Amino acid sequence: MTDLDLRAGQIHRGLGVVARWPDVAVVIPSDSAHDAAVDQMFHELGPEPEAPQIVAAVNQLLAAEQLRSVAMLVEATGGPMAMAYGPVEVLVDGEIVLDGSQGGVRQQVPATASRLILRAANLSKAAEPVAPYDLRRGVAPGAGLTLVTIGVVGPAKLDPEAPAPPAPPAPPSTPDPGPAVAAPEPEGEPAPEPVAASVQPVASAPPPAGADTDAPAAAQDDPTDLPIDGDGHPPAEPVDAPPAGVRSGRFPENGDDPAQSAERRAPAVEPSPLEVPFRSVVLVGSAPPIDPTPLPLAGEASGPLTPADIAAGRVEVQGVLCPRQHFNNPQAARCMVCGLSLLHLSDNLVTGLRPTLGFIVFDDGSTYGLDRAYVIGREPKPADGSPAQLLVLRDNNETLSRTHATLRLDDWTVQLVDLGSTNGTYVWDQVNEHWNQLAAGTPVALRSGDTVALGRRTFVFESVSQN
Amino acid sequence: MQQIGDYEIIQALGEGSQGQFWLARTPARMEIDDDQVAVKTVAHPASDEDFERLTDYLRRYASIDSPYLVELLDIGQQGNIIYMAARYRTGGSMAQPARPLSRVDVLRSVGRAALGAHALHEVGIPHRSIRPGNILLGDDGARLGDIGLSQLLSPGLTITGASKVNTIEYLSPELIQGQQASRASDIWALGATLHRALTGMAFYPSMPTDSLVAALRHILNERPTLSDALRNAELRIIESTVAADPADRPATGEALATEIFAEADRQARQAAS
Repeated sequence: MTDLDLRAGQIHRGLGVVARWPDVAVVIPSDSAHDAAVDQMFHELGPEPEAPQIVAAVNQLLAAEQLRSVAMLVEATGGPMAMAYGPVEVLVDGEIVLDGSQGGVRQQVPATASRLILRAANLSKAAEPVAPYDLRRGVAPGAGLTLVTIGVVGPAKLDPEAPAPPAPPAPPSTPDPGPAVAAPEPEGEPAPEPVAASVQPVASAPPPAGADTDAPAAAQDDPTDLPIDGDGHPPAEPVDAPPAGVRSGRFPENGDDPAQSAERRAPAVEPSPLEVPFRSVVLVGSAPPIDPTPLPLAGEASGPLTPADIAAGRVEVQGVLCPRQHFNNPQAARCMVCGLSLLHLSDNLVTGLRPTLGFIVFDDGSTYGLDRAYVIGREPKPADGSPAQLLVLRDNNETLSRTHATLRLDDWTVQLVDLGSTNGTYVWDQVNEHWNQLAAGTPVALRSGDTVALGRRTFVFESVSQN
Repeated sequence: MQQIGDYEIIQALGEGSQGQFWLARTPARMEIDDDQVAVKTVAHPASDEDFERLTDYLRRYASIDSPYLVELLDIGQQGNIIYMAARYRTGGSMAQPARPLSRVDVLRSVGRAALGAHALHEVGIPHRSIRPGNILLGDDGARLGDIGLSQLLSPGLTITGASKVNTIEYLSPELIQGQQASRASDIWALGATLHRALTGMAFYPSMPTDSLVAALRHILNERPTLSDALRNAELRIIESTVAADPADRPATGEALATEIFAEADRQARQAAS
């Protein structure tokens, strides 16, 4: 739909806030004096703000001098509009095109640009984009954002079964490599295809059915043309940019024709360093599986545990059957499936596959079922000898250790064990209102509703047998 | 022009809970008549082993020759992105149909989706992600598409971080609790989909929306509220799909489809007479 939306977003480490929505990207380096105002702004914008709302909110903070620096990209016809205010910079394909240190500046960047970077000006070389996480929507900590086009022209024909093409010679060096784009780069780059020749602005693509193709109307919809000083009316005439060094408290209006300015200042489009080989496997005409085991019917025994199940810690345990034959924790008062009473049944133990003991909900909404054990970390490795599923958790601030903690299932209880993590594992004590740090290696049984912090990531544990 | 693999992207089609959908030109190598295909991209780093597991799984899906499933064409990987190509359906989805659907159309479309789910179940695949947006419409009727892959990419994951609160109303309680997906959990989702498509009403009208944990607790502790805009037979069918005990729901997608088609035919006859 929009050009910005077609890009993968990679966050640069550092202090500050990075935010992204389908047609707007914002980078606000940390400024401890006003961080609360920035947090408040993002909170008030909510999860799905419209572009004009975001621009207005940023301008409001600038006007109130509660924002010292911000870099922003807003989708516009012909290419994103880049804006910089304060010690921030905007790079297009490796070259700095905007530097806000002398006051607010803005410029349209070509829709064909393959790599856009918004970042704090003083960012150290060590602050590389955090890969492989792709920020698509939302607010995250960071001091910069790299937006790259998704995919590039690949070989015209590929043997569908063939592996990725062999590594061709190294790519030409770019003027400013900027922060390296980590994960998508394999050893050795493919020879850059002549991308520039085939590059077309997205605006020339057929519009979606029913879309308004009328150019003036589209220009009116351009969010950057909306009043950014909140006066409710777009200026009739272009307003001069404020003199260098003068803090206007808001972005200047179009100081010059963005199109011309882009032509003058933006570098020629170069092959993206993100050109990576791809592989495709044709699925049409796939042969039917040799063993098309149907899913069991309800009440029918499921198949034997697979090696993957066993490696994830799925095991058989002793439990009780409710009057409707559902397998349950012998300590539970009611059946977790049908709610029938389990009183006086705890003597009739039977063996069965341990059902889920509950689930954990992380701060970003991702939810995992506890029918298996987990080892959690940034790059977890199997730990403490017991089988468990590896759970990769991203953490832009690296407050998580590679292998941080494990959620172990012991009979019918869920136990949390810190694996000697750098920043510790904590359980919130609701009565005394403080975080209890776990001693490394010592299991703690979790109770339903417990909130757990691993570095800066948190999750809530919900048990099923206490409902 | 942006591209993924050798798919030239024409425009974005929308966003799912796992990734984005794009309309793309059909690459020359692909021997199909359609000029355009739908491509889904999922940002997820995958090892060779992960990719093979995914490919094997989707081959199983693609081997099913069913008029009730969206035809899968291709799976690929480029850098951190996994992409899948499927036939592009021109009629939109049940969530956003290209033309208004009559009550009978809605019933028949969900009935067809139930048969699609059944075909998947018969080769051992739960769909995991049935909802109106994943039932795609075309001249040859509705087909079930966009199979849930999050569990394959991150084993144990039941809800992705990108899920909107409004997509969790299709999740059965046992799936939220962390139980494995099953015929019965897909049948719950089909019932919830039918309810939404017939009435436009929320399944849990008083579900809190400010916190996911609170919303999930609500689903586990409350029963769905079935709208009184439903006709008797519709109400009976949907009630059967959301029985608390999975064993009390229709045993198969096929059995559910039979019920739904019978009601669609009855309503069509009534309208004709």
